[in-house]
Amino acid sequence: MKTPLLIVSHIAAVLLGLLLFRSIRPAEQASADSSPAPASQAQVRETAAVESPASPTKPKVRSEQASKASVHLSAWKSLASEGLTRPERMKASHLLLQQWIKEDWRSALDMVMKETPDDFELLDEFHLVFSREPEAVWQIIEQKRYGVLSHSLLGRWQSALVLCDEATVRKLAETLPERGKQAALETLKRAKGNEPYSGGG
Amino acid sequence: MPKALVLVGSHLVCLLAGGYFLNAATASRDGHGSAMAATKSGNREATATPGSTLAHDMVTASRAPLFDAGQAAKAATKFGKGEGEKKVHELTAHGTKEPTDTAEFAAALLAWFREDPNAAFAFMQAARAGNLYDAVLVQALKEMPLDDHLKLAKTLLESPAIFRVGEIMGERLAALSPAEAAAFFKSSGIAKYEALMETMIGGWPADKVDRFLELAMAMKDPNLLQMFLDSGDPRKQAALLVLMDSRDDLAQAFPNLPEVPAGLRGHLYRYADPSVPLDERIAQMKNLDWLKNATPEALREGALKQISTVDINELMKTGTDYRYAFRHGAMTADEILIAVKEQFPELAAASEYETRVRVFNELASEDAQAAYALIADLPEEQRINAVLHQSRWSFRHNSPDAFYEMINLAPGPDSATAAPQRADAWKSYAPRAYGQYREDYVEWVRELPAGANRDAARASLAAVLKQSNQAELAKEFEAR
Repeated sequence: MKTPLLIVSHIAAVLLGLLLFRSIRPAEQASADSSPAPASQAQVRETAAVESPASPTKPKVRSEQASKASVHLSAWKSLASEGLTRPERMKASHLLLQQWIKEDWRSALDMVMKETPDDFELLDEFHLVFSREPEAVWQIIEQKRYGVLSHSLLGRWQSALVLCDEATVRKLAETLPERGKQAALETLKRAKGNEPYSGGG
Repeated sequence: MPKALVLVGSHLVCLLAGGYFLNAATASRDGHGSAMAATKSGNREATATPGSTLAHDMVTASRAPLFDAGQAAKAATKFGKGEGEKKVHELTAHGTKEPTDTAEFAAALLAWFREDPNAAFAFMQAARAGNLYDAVLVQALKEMPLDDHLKLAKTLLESPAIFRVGEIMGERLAALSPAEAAAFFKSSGIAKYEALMETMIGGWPADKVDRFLELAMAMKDPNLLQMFLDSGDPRKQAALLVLMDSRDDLAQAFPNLPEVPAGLRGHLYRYADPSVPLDERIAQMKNLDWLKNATPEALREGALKQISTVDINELMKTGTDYRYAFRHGAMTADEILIAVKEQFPELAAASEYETRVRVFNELASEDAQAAYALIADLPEEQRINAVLHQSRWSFRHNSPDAFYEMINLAPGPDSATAAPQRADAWKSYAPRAYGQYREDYVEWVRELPAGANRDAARASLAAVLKQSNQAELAKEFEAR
């Protein structure tokens, strides 16, 4: 065999190796990157996963979202290696969360609810989302997605309803079971915006 | 070896080399995951990944000011009468507190503050504020004459909203010389506004406590010292007391300086800065009622328990975020114990046991099973005591799941000394948990697996339900 042919055939073997192993890697990666199952930090209660929004999403978009979400998840964990003080870390967590919520609020909520309740002031970042998605958030509370800690979302859900107009809240209340209905109607009784200012977050 | 065999072999080597190259490249890209997984064994790689880069960017962004204060101050002058307010409403007209343009919003709100601080402040309250609003408030207050600042504060004396306005007043007065601050005190009569004084002391920077003492001396007013010792952060109060104890000119400055009550003295030395010698803190804690008749050994043991709790808890709250590092696998429990010991060498030398148990306590709220490694080698009785003692005294703010995971590290059956401790731990925990999680806590208790903890949880819930006038429901949880 002539030398040029040998070179070409060896290069081809290298390329074949690249191709072969590439087809194996994504499967490994997919399982490693999959977002964590909902769970409180200790006793995990198996609850029905909250489904993605009903509107069909193109697979390409979904995979982009998943990849962005895993970057956020990875960044969230990376904050642990930055050697930050707790106040510094909380500030960075707030900022990261603001970005994450815009991409995928459900994964972001799953992550925050896995932190200890000491960090639940981070839930304030969901104020707008909760007002935009009151039904979905009610499902999360009702289904106890985060076990007993799901109760921590109730008050925040109620205060987010204040951003909705009265007609929307009344309409929503009609669709909810008794507990949710009562909680939604209770918010209507509260005077809007009369809580005193108590400093920045 | 036949030539054909050599050729097949060399091609196979090339094929594998391609695969190895891809594997190595991907592994390096995914370095973060493997680094995190490797933490338990102590191997960490410092490879940048999209996640770590994003985390780093967030840290940088969180340290940057929200807006350019100089630019905002300049831009605010360009707003005419009523225009700042109008622009603020315009930028938040979409119905949320987040303005569409941060820099413009900061300038407009600042202009509004300059024109009508009361109205601008009322708007902030109604908007429920946030960091951006707070940053503008701080800038607006710091640039206004102290008299105007006081005027705004006086309109808020009956409202919890005075909190931040008073705090910033404290920061401003601490930045003045004691003579200047004393002059303002005299001219304004600020000391008579209790609510303002309380929040002002709250905002007084911890590293300027000496300035407060000098201010009080310039005012010849021992009541100011009393106010400082009675309000705010105990660490700061302790700093003032330690400072007062170190001075021999106080009797001369304050002829009628009252004695600091023994209980308060003992309480504050528990919170004294770790730079105060440990033996001094322990000796002063003898002023506490429950330690005043203790033997030297019992005093030392009791004081060390509390001092270690305070110091290590403070470190976890304001120092390096070890709990987060542990939670996300960046540090092991052992590594954190070593780091804590390095920061409190005197405490660690005085009691390795208390230091270890306190670190265990902090980390157990994250992952009780993983934190257990810290106490696993202790003798059984000490181990059970550590678990029950911590569950009883310092775990009541944790979630029901975390509390259960902790106390169930000592699942029973109980000795005669352990049983009342377990019952007491649940008795302390249940009212708070029921208050916070209501019917969901009731449901949670129902689902607990059988054992000593289930029995204690049910008995404590029954007592809480009875106190809440729910005798019927309580019956379900009473021992039969």
